[in-house]
Amino acid sequence: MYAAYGVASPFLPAFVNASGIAPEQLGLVLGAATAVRLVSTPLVGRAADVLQALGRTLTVCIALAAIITLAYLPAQGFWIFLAITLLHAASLAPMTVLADALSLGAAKRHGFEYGSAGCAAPARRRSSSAR
Amino acid sequence: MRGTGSAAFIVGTLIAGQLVGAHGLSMIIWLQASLLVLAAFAATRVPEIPHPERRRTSTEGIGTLLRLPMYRNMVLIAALILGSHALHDGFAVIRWRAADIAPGTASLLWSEAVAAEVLVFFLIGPRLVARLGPAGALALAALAGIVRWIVMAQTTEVFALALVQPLHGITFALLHLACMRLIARIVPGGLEGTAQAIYAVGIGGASASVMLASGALYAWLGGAAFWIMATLCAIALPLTLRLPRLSPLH
Repeated sequence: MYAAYGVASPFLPAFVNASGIAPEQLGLVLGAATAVRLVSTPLVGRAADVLQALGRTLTVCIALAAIITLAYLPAQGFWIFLAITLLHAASLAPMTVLADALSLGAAKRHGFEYGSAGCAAPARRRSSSAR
Repeated sequence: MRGTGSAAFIVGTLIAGQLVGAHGLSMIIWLQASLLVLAAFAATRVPEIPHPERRRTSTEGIGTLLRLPMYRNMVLIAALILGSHALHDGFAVIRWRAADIAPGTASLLWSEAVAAEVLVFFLIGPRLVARLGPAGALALAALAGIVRWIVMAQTTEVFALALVQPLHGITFALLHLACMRLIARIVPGGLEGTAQAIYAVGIGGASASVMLASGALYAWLGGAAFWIMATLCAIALPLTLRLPRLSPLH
């Protein structure tokens, strides 16, 4: 999952730019994506809590993200890129929070080291795209 | 476990760098989609856990927190410094490519920042926050941001970039750790979740706003737009110096 973030995070803006979106528009697209992430993370987290289905929500999020990612390939034009980027960000963003919650729950159950060095900061990730 | 995640992130970035160099940027789409499919399969194997207690964000809690001068200023400082990263996140690689830096090199530069982040989060950060105090650590983060963005503005020499990328550990990771320490110190009992939420929203809002502007800034100023990011950190600096003198009570 983290490798998936790693392959795209640094290069996605360049990809969109190279696909013909000028910097001014790119700022709008990425900024909107950042804003969407702010909203989708707590919303999806809440839904997972209510449904009592963290694992299944995570699976759905990842699967959706995979499909939306592929939509980038044929994409052209500002509005299409904007739509795909918003969906992309919305599906990717909750993944780390859900995975963290599952890992912490499992760590408590099975007693292994989560490795966050006492830093209980889910807010870490991330203001950058698709991370 | 988190460490493995960061390691995987770096490996992903480095592989992407090599493949993009050989086959172009659209490689990242295939790579990401395939990795996500794999991750989705892995996720189906994760056992469900019994649901942890729900944390509610009360609105009076929000008011209480925002009335604490130290908390308010902390969020502002974090918003300024972390917001300043938005130009880098969106446009650093674009700028580097425009300067003919190879994707493999770009991936190494990016990975340096992530590696520094991990190093600070897990090894040197907590000690540094203890040694400097949260306000001191925040001041360091502001200073590091000023230096980092000025260098980014003035050069695309790989050597120089390689020197400042690790500052990410200070500007990003140390800052988060310092804020977590401050929150632990000054937030009244029961409001920790709310404090984290406001913090996240403050940072997210600042990042989104700066990102929205950064496109136009980059189009207008090119690399010199990083001077504006340095200015954001420069505004944060006196706030960090004032922090210890603010009362944690309202």
